[in-house]
Amino acid sequence: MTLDRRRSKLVFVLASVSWVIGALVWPAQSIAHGTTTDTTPPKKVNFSRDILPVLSDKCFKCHGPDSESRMAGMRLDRADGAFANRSGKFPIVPGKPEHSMVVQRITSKDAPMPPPDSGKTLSQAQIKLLIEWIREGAEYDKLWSFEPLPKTIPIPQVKGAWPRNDIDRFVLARLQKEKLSPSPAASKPRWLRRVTLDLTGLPPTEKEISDFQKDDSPAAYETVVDRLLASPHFGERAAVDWLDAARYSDSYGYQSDLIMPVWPYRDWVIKAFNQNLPYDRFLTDQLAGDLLPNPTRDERIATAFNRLHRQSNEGGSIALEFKTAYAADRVDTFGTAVLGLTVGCARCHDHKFDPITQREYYQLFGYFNSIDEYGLLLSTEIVPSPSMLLPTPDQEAKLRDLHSACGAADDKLTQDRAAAEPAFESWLKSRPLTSTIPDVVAHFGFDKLDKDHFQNDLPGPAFGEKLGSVDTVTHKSRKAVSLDGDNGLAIRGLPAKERSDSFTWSFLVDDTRRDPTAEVLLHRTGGTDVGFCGFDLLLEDGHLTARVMRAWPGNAVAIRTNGQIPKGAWSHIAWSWDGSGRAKGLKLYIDGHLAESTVLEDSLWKKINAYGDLGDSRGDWTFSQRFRDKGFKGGEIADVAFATRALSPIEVAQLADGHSLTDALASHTPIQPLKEYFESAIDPKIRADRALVKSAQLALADGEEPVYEMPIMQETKKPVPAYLLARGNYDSPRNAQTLVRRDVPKALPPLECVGPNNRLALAKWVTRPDNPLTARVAVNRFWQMMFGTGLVETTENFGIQGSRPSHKELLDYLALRFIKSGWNVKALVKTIALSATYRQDSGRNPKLKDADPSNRLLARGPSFRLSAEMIRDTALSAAGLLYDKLGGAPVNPYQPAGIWQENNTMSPPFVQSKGPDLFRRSIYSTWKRTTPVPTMLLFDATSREACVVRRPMTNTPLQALALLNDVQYVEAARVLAELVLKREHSDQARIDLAFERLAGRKADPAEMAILMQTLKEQREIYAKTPDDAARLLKSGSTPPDASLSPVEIAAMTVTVQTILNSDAVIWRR
Amino acid sequence: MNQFDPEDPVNRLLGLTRREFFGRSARGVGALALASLMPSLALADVFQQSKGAVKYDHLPKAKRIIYLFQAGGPAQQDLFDYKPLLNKHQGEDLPATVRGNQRLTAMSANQAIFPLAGTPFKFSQHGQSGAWFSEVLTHLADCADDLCFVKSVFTDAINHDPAITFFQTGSQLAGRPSFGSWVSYGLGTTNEDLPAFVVLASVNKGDQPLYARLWGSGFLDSRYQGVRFRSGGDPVLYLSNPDGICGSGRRAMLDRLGELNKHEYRQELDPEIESRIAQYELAYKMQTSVPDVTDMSKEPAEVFELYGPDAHKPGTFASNCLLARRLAQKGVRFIQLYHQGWDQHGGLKAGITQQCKDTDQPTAALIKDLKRLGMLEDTLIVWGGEFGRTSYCQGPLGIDSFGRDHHPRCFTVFMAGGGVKAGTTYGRTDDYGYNIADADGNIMHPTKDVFTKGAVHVHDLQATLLWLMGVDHTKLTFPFQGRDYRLTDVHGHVVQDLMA
Repeated sequence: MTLDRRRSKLVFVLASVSWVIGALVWPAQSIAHGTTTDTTPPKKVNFSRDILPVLSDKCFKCHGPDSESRMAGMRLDRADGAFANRSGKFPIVPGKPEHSMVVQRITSKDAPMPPPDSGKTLSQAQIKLLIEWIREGAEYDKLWSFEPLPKTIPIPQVKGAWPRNDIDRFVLARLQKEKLSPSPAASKPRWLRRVTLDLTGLPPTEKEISDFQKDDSPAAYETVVDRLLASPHFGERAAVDWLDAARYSDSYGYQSDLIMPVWPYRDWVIKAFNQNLPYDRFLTDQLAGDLLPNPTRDERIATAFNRLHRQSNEGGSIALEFKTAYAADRVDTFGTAVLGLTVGCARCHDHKFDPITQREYYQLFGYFNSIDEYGLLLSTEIVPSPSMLLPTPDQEAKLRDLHSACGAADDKLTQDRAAAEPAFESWLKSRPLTSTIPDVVAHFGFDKLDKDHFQNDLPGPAFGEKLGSVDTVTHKSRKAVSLDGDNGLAIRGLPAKERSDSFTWSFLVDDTRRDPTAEVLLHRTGGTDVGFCGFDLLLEDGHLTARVMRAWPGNAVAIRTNGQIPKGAWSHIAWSWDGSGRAKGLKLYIDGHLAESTVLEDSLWKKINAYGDLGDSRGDWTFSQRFRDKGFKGGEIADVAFATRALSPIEVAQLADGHSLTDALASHTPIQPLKEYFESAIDPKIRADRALVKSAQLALADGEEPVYEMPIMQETKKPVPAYLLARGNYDSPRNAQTLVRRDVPKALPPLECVGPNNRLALAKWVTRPDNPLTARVAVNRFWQMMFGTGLVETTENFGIQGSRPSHKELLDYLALRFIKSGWNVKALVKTIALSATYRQDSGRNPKLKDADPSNRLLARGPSFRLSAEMIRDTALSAAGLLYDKLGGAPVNPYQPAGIWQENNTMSPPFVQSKGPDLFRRSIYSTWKRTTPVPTMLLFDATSREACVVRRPMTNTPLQALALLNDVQYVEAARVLAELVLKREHSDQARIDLAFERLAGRKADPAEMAILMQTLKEQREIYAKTPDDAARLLKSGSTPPDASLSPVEIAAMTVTVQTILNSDAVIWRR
Repeated sequence: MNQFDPEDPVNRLLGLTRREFFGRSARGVGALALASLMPSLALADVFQQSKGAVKYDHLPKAKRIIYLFQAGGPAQQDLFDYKPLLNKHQGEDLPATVRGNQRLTAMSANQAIFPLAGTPFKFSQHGQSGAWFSEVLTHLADCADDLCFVKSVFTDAINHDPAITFFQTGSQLAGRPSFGSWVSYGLGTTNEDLPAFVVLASVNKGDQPLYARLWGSGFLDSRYQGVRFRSGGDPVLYLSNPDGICGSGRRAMLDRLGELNKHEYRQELDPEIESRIAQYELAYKMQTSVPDVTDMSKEPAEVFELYGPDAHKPGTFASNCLLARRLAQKGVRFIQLYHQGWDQHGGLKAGITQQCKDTDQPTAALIKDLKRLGMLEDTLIVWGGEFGRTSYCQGPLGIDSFGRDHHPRCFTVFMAGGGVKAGTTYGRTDDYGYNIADADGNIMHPTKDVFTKGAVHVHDLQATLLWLMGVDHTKLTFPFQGRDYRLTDVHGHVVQDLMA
């Protein structure tokens, strides 16, 4: 080792100090320090380490937690099962292997366990271990990761100056046990590139390299780490891993794979890391931001975490099936990303290995299904509820104005109505004695047919049209139409409707069947067979439901009558809407009387009419028909009238009984209904006021329309019940027996919730210091971010089938400190970055190669291939092309033409970005789930269709083709070539500069010789083929520098490509 | 050229590192796949698949699969599963006893009646086997005695996206490896310079979409992803040198790049570097091998005649069938074709006629061509969609406008070659073509959990196809979410009755 002992000691001291300085405060030493750890292996067999993995892998499938697949009723995952008296025989007798059935069977030749057809076998060593464990008493204890974190963790006392902080003491103690020593420190440039990529995803600049080279101070390394952690690019880097876990994407996935508007969530994650939001808050905001007291805009944006799952818009889909799938996705993601458990395995049956029953799965499910969502998706414009508006400051000001205009219009109406008494009195004196109901523009008795069209009794363009074969039957003096659920009746030629347009429908109806639900009347403004928006009237077991919807159910107003209309008899019903955008503007009348109703929904924003190609903004209304949906089977309809105004009650009564208004006018009593009639129908001033209210509402909707809207999580007022769904099927029985109560798995600490048992309670539970998993899982993921592999290699699984930690005490120590530091992410990252372990050189030596090929013992530094994002961002950054704007709407960098739509004509088209937006960091590229950016996928980025916390790392020839030939990389090489040609004057200096910008170090003499040779060869080639040079210069959208020789640019471009494709760039070592 | 020189001190060192390389790469890989990785390190190994000695579970009957996926759900009643009763009772409501309590899609669940719809096509019997074919399948009818029909396939899903995902990956959830990736993971490749798993899709078909996940590698490494071959432009993304980089320039550059990487290796002793060097060489080879295999200009005229006039048009199903044969000749293990457009909710007669015009002749040609070349016996052809269609009409029953809704309860898939029983039909449906029936025509209610003779669940079909490839589906596993996950999940039963 070549460490300068004096200096390293100094660094060590300072590194220790850094635990408690600056913004990155780790707690003062409260963890026992200095006690000697026993580094000799324990003599006893360790259940959790030695036995549980064997039992789990070989036995639990049939003798484990899953009660349904348990064979012979015997379970070996718990002591009570293993020690049970089974008619005088015992699976395990502690201390007595010779009396244990298990031992007889695993050593049996005739009837061995595991049975041969299971495909599983026990090795001799495993059999010996099991016997030894039983001999020692067969002690059962918990899996290590379910054990609480120890209160204190002794830090190993190790000799030597190598350790820089406590991480290193754990690592060194282990290495010494294995008779290995740490590797020497990496060179300064190597460390700098490593840490810069790990913490920002970008390569160091020349200046950063030279500053660091020149800085001989003991704090040089810490200065760098502090600088990187303060950089906004830290958030971008750290966000990538979490976005994989959160399955963040810019498209909904499934069939049409429409664009999903959720990028503010992505920016929230970046900001959270940049502001060093404590990890417990980070989780709480995402899991339950909506349930915090007076949640901020940011806290509500964070809840989109639970809405990032795929959503379907495929026609024919069953909404409940998908709602169930979405909630399950939330549970699985929560399990993997937060708890590191494969909770999802318990969806269809008890978990085969881990102590999570199917019932417990659905108890967790109960936290995630309580959301007022429809389940299917209509279009990109119609954001599925619940959602939130994100106005810009300008829009916010404008919306404030529009809201106050609405208020002013309401006020004026109220004032004018209050002041209308004199006008009413004078009208009353001169009132006409015959009743008139102004604004009724259509009336159908269905006895006048012009060809196939029913004629309107009143003048105007409206007419009725049969949809399918429709019978009419005599009703009183006129006719009624009979409906069979498939046919229908369209009323066409009425004015187009927006939510601000008022109307009244009046008709007679006979519900002969009384179905649970029947579509009576619909004005569809958008949607397909998967769902729709607009106005509609339903009959639900005799109750009338009237709805005005943009995105059912969250963005809509709706009421339902408390009473029912009779079955098999005629009723008069009327439905009015005053265009106010509020539930009180919806009214339902039965037989001329206002029906008592319950408000179902009362929040509506934006417009309801005409969305993209889904729009159906004509003024058509249809009785008993909706595309591929249920009509009004067995219904009869007669005497249909339509008015372009919300009629007053007495007008409705007149339509129902033919005399109420006439009688009132004749007798001049009762007064109040007549006054309402006067205000609604007659008084020009109040009619004008109402028109103003409507236009203010329309202006508000118009103002809201362009405001960015995104789906978020929002708890329903009443919890949606959760049921144990047999075999995980959405259509399994939901009844009192299957009903479950929200709770957390019993193998983990109890919930102990004070206050409502909801997602906030769950978030509090998961971030409680005694939760054994959350901190371990988080710390492990940050370790993986910097070492390529977690201390627990199976980042996604801390359960029994997951891998054991390579350094359990270190993991626990870091987890404990993480919690005590206030879940300080930057402090954790800083500690790792400044450790001697992280600083080691990553080169292998022959001894290590055999002793620890995958570097689990950490005797060398971490090396791995750059991620998909880092490779592209490095190329752009080195070329000076990177446009490092933070956040914002996703952009579309280069990709081969047409691939979004080549197999999906339902997908929106890909439109390549222009100008600097072609060169944003890769995190901002549009993540399209069914057609991810090809170069990202080739380099192992995930499609973001499901939660992933560990990417594979592959080497394939397709990667080579992409780096060599994709315009993105060719252009970057060319632009970098031009940059070095302008900046430097000798070939060598130019190559040096390009090399340094890409690889973060100078080329060594051998590399320089190879690259000089490359340049020479390419120059010779292009000198002979100047046309080729000219063509190469056209790569990409950045114009070539006309002052440079095309041959020189081309030759240098290929030289830069050589560097770019080399290990020195594509790997971080 | 930088072929490996075993005497090169670096390469001698590399020889030692291979163990390490594989030991690490194969960490957590099932024993079968591990075995397939070990035998040799040819260039093909940079796909980290093997060539030559593969450890099969049993003797394979098929060396490769050409899967002709018919996306959208072809109507079995109008193609193979002849149901004269439907014509006889045209327009009558489907009896409730036949319909049972099975769920329907939200598109037709609310229909007031379910009018039976007979096929608009004439049917006749062909070959020794006497198999029924619709009049729109004249070419395929010629091959009657090569085909092995399964008329009783059933599936879990009722809508396209979940159903096609289930058929191709064994799960309706996204993120699982596709069938082809399982095969290339399990068996490796049998060619040196082409991928083991190639995907072809008919162009300009529209209709129900295809998704990258259908040929993705899910939780398997991305090296097992299907490689999409395209028509027009680069057959494989990024295959061609950029404009202005000539072949000799690229070769020279790759030589220098190899030197740089070897130099790097000497410093780092990381076997991944060796793998990278080899990849660049394979990429270079692919730049020749892919255009070679996709250039069909040298195929004789009679071959084009066999596949039909569309075979001249790149990207058509006919052209893709011919290309599939060429890929099969080159040893590509799994060739996945997609042909969209089978989603006849309406306009069924015209729709099916057009679909058959696209596919009938090329499908038959592929069978005949492989037979002619002596390759049919070890090439397994599979033809089928993600589900079938209802025997009742969706919406009002009109002569030309009528259509059928999705039907997961029973549908037809056929196979040819590769060890299946030629000229046979397995399983049957009831007289309404609505349920799987026993030999006497009595309705059966099979589930995926228990194998019912005569009924073939998607997982059973997957298990059977793997078995034909020499793989026991219960042993082809990969540790995922803490268990040894497989294509057939915990289901699947090999249908031995289908084997020749």
